[in-house]
Amino acid sequence: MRHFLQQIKGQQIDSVSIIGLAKNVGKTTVCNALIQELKDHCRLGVASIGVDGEERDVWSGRPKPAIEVPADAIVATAGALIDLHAGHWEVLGSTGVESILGETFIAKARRDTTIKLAGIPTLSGINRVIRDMKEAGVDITLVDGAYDRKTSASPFITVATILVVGASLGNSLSQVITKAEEVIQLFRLPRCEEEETRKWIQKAQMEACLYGQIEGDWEPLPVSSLLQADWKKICQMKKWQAIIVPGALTDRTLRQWIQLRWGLTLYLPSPTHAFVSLSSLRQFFRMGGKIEVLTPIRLLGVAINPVSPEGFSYSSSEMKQWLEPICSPLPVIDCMRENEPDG
Amino acid sequence: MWMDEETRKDILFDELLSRFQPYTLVGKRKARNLPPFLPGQEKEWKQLLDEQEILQREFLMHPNQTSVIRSALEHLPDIDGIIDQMKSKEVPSLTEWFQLKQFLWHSYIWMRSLQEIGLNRFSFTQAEIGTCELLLRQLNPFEPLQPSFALYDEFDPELKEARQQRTAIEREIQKQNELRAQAIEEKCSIRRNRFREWVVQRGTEEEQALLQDDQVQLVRETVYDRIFVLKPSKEQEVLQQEQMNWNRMIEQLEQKVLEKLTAFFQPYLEWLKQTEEKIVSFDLLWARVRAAESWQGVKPELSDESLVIEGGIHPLIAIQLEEQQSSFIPIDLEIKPGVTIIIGPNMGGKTVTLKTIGMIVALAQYGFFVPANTCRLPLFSWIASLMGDQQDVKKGLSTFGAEMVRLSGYLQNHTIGLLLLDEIGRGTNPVEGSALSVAVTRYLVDQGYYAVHVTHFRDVVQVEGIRGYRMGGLKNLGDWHVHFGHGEEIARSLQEQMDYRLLPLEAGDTIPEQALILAERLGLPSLIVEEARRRMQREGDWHGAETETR
Repeated sequence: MRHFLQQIKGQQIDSVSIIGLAKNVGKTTVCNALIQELKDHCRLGVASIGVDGEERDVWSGRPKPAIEVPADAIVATAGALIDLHAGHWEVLGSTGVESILGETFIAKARRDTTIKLAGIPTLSGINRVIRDMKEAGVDITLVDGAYDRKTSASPFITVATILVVGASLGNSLSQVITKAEEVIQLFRLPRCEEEETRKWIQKAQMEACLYGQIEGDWEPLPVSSLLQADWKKICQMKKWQAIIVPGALTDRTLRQWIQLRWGLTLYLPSPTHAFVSLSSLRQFFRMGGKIEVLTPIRLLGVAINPVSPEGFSYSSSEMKQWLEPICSPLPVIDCMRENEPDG
Repeated sequence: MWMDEETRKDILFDELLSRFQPYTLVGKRKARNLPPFLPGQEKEWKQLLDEQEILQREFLMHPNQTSVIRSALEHLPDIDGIIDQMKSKEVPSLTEWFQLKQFLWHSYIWMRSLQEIGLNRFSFTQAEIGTCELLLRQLNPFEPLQPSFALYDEFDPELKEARQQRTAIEREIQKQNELRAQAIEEKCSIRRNRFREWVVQRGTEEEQALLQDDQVQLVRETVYDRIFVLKPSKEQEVLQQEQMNWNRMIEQLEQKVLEKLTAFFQPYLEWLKQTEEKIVSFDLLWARVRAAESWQGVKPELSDESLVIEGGIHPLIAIQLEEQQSSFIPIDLEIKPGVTIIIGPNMGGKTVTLKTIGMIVALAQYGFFVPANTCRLPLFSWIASLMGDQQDVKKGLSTFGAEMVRLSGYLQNHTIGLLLLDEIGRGTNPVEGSALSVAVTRYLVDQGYYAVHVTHFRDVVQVEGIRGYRMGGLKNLGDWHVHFGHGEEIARSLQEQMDYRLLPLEAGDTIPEQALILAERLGLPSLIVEEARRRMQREGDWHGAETETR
């Protein structure tokens, strides 16, 4: 946790999403640990994205834990949840953003307390809420992400992301590690540094049009969608060196390119636009292919939870041992098994 | 119904009305169900229009204030539900009180801003502003005023005292916990995690030490770990019981604060309602002014005798024409009770004229300034149109069938309405169509409606008692040729040759026969056009079989 604190403070990060790759991986617990870590260093804000269906927390076995909110921290949640402990809150604003439990309000804790966060179901809604929190004086907003939705990590929502890897990801430790590695690889896709190419990615996004590069020049690809294109024909037509994919890159498309032995450079708006498997990604890279993104995800590290909701668990140290080389130099932490911070 | 769905569509009313955008939530809701002004409401109608004129003239002279007032309106919550709740003596929740405070906060800003401008017509009195401040201060029991809301200690000294007592107990519990936990940590050489738990691996010395310590309890375990927490001491159990008692008392005191506030607000519920109505009506008024500015609207005047439009345009059609590098020729006309016919060649602008009349009248009766240089009108009891292809597939009716059903419905209405007809009878065979058109026109002459009938049927022009207009038509019948190209070019070429002015019908005027010229210029083979001309010579000799209506 201390690593995260250093990064957040050092890099002046003002919003962090905490995302899990399956239900009940323990995002809320990580969020609570982060709150404990950050509370004395800044004014915190906490919000939740998505329609969360998790009812019980794995680690505690209790009903899903509420967020532990220190005095002066600010939350965004449904009015009905704030009203449950009226004396604990000062209501600062209404957002006009609807959650499944009604309108989302911005409220400041008047004492150390707990609250459940109603998930905000839309990206525009969460962006609005983050903006309102900032206006209310929040330095860092933590966003408890929707389960199994990588989009919660979108760099267009929060500046940085912490990935929670739980035992519930797979039936064996190796399966858990493989799935985690898949996402970590994608999340670490590098930023495209060439200014000219960055402009073309933005243009492709605005026009929702695929662009290809031949001898340094960009031109629209003669296809309307990735899925319906006859790539063999397109590949024979011209010697494309690179392609800008403004929408989702699927595993099926990447596999088609791999079969054509087409080792080109791909440009995507962000890593959350890639929906490809680790094996495809590795094969593509081995062929000389490259993937770069306009806006990368700033992954701060990985938090692990070795206990699954089904009752089985892995060794925390073993899980860490496997994940550390994959994540290096990013930290892998187990916030339940780390000691309380000094002071 | 003052105007049915088909008529709204025909005249593109909802499309234009989308420019009418109030800022408040209640205003937005009201805008969706805006009522028209009906005969008998002339005074209210005129007052609303006058107010728009004042607002336009005086309020908009203060651009700095308008942005403050706009912001206040945008933030004004909808408190209707809360007021109803309080009327039935229910106590609003914390977030509802916040909404109420927001309402007062933004109303206060709004009132003060209008007072600064000196717009007396819309301002509140000093006493009313005082009431607003009084209520605001009830929800803000300390200085300075702020827009947020909480159950502040200042609401009740007893509440403040209780909270202080609870905090002291909580501190004591925490202090004792820390001391005991630290002692265990030293003894067992293991520190807690940040959730105040000891997580130890099974089979380790630490696990054994904790298992043997009766100050801790096992809360959960996995195959690898056991998790312990501190067990409360006897003394702490007493403190925790006290803490719970204070919690209960504090909740009761907080509820009492909310109940007291509810009681205090009871006599002001009507005032709140009226204030909301006043602000929302200002919001709607300002939204009307902004919408009308977008079509350079002028204030319509009341007339008992006729509908007069000078320089009228249809803003949406004008935009379409501008995009085609053409311009809208404003219409001038007077429509009296009875029938006014409009004749002219195909594509000469007759239907556009009907849509423009309909739009201007509808806007006027919904209390808007209208896109014209001047407009005088009586308030109509209804407005209806029969234009274009309106097949009612659901009812299995053709264009003709659907039109007849709608016309029958309109004619059952015996109040004074505006009826816009685009070529009655065109959907059936010409002989019957013409006869029907003449008969409908004749019927309407005596009914007192304000009917406008666009027609191609020559016999309609002969009906006694009608008035009328003709579209200018093709300017040059001789040497004009369409420059062929894509659709837009053809349209532009045609527009250049067409005189879209509306001219009063004079004695001897008859239906223009420019359809064949148009067809020829639009590229129809001359063999066909010549044959058609020959047949024109034998006008009236009808030899074809009667065609079925579509």
